[in-house]
Amino acid sequence: MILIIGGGIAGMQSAIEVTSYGLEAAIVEKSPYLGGNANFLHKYFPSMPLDCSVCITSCIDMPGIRKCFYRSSIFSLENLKIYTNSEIKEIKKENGKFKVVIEKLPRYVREDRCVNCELCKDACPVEVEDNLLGKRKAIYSYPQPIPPVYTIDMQACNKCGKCKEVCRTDAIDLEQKPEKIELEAEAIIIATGFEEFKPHDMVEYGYGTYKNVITQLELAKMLKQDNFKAEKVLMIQCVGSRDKRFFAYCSKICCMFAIKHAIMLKEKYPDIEIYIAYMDIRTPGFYEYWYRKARELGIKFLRSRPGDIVENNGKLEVYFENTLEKKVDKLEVDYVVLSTALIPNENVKRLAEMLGLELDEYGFILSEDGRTNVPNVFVAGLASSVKDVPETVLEAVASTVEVIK
Amino acid sequence: MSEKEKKKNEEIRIGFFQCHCGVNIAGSVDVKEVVEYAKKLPNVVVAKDHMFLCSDPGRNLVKEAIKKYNLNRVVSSHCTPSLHQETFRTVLKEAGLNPFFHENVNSREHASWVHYRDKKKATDKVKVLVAGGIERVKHHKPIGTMRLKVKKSVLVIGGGPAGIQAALDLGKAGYKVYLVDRRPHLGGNMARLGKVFPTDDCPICILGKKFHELRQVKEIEVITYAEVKELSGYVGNYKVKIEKKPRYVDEEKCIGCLTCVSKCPVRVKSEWYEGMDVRPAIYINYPAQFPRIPVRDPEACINCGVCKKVCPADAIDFDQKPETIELEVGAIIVATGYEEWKPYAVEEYGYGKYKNVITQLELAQMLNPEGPTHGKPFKPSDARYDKKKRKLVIEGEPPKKYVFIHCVGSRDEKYFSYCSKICCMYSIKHAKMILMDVDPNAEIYLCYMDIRAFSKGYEEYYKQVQKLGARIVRGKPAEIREDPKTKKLYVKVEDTLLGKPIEIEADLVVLASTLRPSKGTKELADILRITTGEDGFLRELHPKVGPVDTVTAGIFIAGAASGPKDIPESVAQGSAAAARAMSLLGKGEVEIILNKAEVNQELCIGCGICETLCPYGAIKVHETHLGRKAKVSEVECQGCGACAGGCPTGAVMRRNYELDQMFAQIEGILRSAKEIFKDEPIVLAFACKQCAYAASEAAGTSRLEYPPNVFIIRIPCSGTIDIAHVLKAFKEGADVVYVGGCEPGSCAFVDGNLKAEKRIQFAKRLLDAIGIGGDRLEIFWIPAPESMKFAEVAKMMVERAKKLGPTPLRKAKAVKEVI
Repeated sequence: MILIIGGGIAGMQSAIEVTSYGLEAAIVEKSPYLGGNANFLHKYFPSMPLDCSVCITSCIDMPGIRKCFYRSSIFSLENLKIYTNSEIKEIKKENGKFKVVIEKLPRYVREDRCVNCELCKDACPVEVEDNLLGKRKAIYSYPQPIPPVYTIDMQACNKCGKCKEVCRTDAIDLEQKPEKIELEAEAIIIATGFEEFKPHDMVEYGYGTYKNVITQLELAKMLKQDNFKAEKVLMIQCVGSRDKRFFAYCSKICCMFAIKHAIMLKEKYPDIEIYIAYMDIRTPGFYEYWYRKARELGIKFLRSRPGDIVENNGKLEVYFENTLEKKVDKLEVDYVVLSTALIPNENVKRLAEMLGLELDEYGFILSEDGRTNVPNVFVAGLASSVKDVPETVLEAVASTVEVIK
Repeated sequence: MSEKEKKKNEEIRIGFFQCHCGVNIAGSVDVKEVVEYAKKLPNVVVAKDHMFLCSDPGRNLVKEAIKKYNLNRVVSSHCTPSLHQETFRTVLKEAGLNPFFHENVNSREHASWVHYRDKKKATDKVKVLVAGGIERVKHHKPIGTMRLKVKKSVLVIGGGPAGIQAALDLGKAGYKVYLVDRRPHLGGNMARLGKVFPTDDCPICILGKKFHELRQVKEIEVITYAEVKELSGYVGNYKVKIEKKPRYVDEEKCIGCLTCVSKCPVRVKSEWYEGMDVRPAIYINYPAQFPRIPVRDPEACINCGVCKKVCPADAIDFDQKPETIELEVGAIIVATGYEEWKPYAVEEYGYGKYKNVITQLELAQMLNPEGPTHGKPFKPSDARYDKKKRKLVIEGEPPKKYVFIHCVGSRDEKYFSYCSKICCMYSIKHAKMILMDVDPNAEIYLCYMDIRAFSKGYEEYYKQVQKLGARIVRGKPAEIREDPKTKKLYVKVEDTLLGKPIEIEADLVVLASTLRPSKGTKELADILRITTGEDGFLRELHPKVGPVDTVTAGIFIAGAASGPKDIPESVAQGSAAAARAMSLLGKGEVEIILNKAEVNQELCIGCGICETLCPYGAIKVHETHLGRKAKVSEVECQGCGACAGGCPTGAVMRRNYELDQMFAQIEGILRSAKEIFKDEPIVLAFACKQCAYAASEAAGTSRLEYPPNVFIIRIPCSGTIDIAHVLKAFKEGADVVYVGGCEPGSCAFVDGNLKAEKRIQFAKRLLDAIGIGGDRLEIFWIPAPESMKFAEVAKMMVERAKKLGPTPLRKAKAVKEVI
């Protein structure tokens, strides 16, 4: 049995690969659905045309199908168990095996009964804001969810019981309790992914103070919900990354991330003005095509690292030095989008303590060819360093070889 | 209609399903109207719509409808077949029907996305396409599958880091591996370097360890100095012919003492060291090479026979002949790597004209501790070949001032538009090596556009070289001038951060030139029936979810053959390709779907035209008791349909693209189009699914608009096209017909496109002769990425249809209908 911690792209790809060799596997994911950060993205680079993230996150590879792969058929893998809404509580090493205790939090809907018919959603009277779905009910699910069942957000729920009344399969169980599950694993693959750095500390950009200063991931969510309206947008690259004060490393994918969003906006609203303030544009290899396309579409690239942002009459005034024209300039925009550093998931530290893993100074797991310093513990995806989707998939496939050995 | 036919038609029960795809389709197509329209068509028992047809509830809807209404045919209208046709075929299979009783109507890429401004027209177009699909599915027949045993052996082409990794992973897992390299030894370009970033390891040490492992694993057979010449067979059972060039040294006998090398009196330029050093006629490229067996260069050899005399093992054999090796393998991994482009064409930098302008790979040779000067850079203008000493002599001072120029040829519209990805890092590495190991006081200028130090530890590496004193200049040099006397170089560059032009004096200018696929990549791709991109690199199936797969099942790619990559990435790809091969072969058998050619024995007249058309030798005429009849080998047939298109009697058919099926679709589309689009011109396109159809998909995703009265029929290859299809289209009322195929040389089925072109040229003359006019028929080459071209062609053909007016046939019918 192989335990996979994290149900993002790396975790799912590892699960598919491992099970294709006939091994047993289990994914433990802390949120109610699989997909990880990819759920929040709207479209992916670099394939031409951009792929829809929903299709990719629930994919399995089948010969002959080019882009969207079988949705949700990860669900039909016989040797794979999926524990969503679950957290690792304890890992102990005994006789060369890992004894793992996970806690499955209640979703208040029985997974074995729910058929995702939406009746409960229509009946639910409570409406709340969700950072992924926009407005949603207290009982909710994602588009194309894995597992395909509803979840009740207990913080929002008023326990009126309407969902229970309309449910025809009697799947709602408001009394569900957390459940402790014990597993025994021979190997562990850590695929805990990344988080976006929230630059509250960088006073110059006023993130958290000004409403219209947002991060790229927040923009991705707005694009997904289709509620982003602006005439003039400035994107600032390398916020927190390549910066001694915060993270000295380069976050690798932010250039492409920003260019992708800029192109998507420009194609949708041809009149929008988009500026990207950068130090170096890093679009290696064939990604260069996107950089060229962005310039052809009229997206303006400013070589600069803006120094200050001031809010004035609902507009943001950005002060910056254009290092190519060698002058200090001012730009008035509606939105400032910060391409912030990508940092390891906060849970990595806890896992590292439990397993005795070595981390680097930033909290990424040290690894070689997917192996960590602890035998039989492997790492895939962004838990070891920043990568884009193709590399994540590639690494997941490649580390399988190590796992099988 | 005869009674029999009527009865047959009555039994057909079709279910129609329209997807909303969120707002992707429903936003610009009135789905309810389409459903209502479909309901009225004959044989349609049920028509429904769903928000996401491909989701679990959507698929269940289809499944349940099949059971409830006892359906035996399904038409689903959603995105393009390359996305979800398989999904619904599986649904049919799960519901107990043959998967080929399904037809996919493309209402997203061909309607809602390209005609989003005009909801009415987009809806009309979907209706027409649906009518075609429903008419077609009536004629569908079941298609079976076949299980084949696979060989548990793999051929790895290319012995660089990616290939070695793949071979080791496979060999250790117990698979038989043949590792083939074109060079006389393994190691690839990696073996030519002195250090590798970002760890500054010695590549020979890493490779040495890998070579040792290769020797240990018994399953791995290394075949060097050999090239792949021919491929036949199919996934799991490939037959490969490899030509092993004569090295004139018996590999079995040679003990690697290298006495022959040291005694050889000849010296010629060494290709391995980029012509900077010399080598004997019998030579090895680098001391740690594997296998450590010399090779004789027959062109340089003066046949003195000294080597023969000194060889203690009697291994030298001047009479060796090229040898053909035949291998049987289940899968193939292509890891042929890259080569550096020689930037002679960039005249302003004077490469080839000024001796002291070199490339980064040439500098790498100078910095290589095993290189011509053992790691000391020199000015090529100072180098001289000393005949007496038989070696390179450097006279003069070592270079003090260096200028490195990034992005030479890459990121440049004039040459190659892509970024070569690793040049920033190796330029930085070389600067670091010079400053740390050679001369801490050297002046090094790096002229760059953007510094791309993006992976783990790379940014820190860049910082180090800045601390060591390398000077970073943002600007692309415009010109290099040489002082003919001193051979000093003067580089003119605008420092875009200072905002003024500067001139830098240099002893050595080093160009970071573009990385190209290694020589012969295109030829190899043709042999292996895999595709290359516009840039010449091998193309992967999908950059995200299929980075090491190709269009041909059982053939994988790894490393820089599919685009510039650094060593860690290449190694990861090698492992990934090995994992993919293992999961293919591990099961011991593969399933193939028999959507291939078939011969109707009654109609076949044994003319043998099909035999000449088949590029794979899969169809052959045999003597039978009925006379001479053609027969298809189903395992070898690739399903291109070139034979079917050329059969004079219609005896050969490509299953699922049979004449009656195509006719039904043409008829369904055009009948409905005449009814709905009335007087507007009607254009029918046949698009090859590899290129023109893929371009139409890309046009959809890019929302490129073209007139809605262009209807596209998907065919497996442009070679499938039959003159009968074209004539049928005109008969049913098309005003203009065109075929979209792959560019010559890039056909996935060797030359189906050229066969199509011949047929179309003939059909044009035919149309001229019968008064319809050859102008109404065209063939275009539309490569898959060229969505713009697809839209342009569609617009142009509609314009032509307008100019030419309705065909005489359509006019005549219109008159008849009025009467």
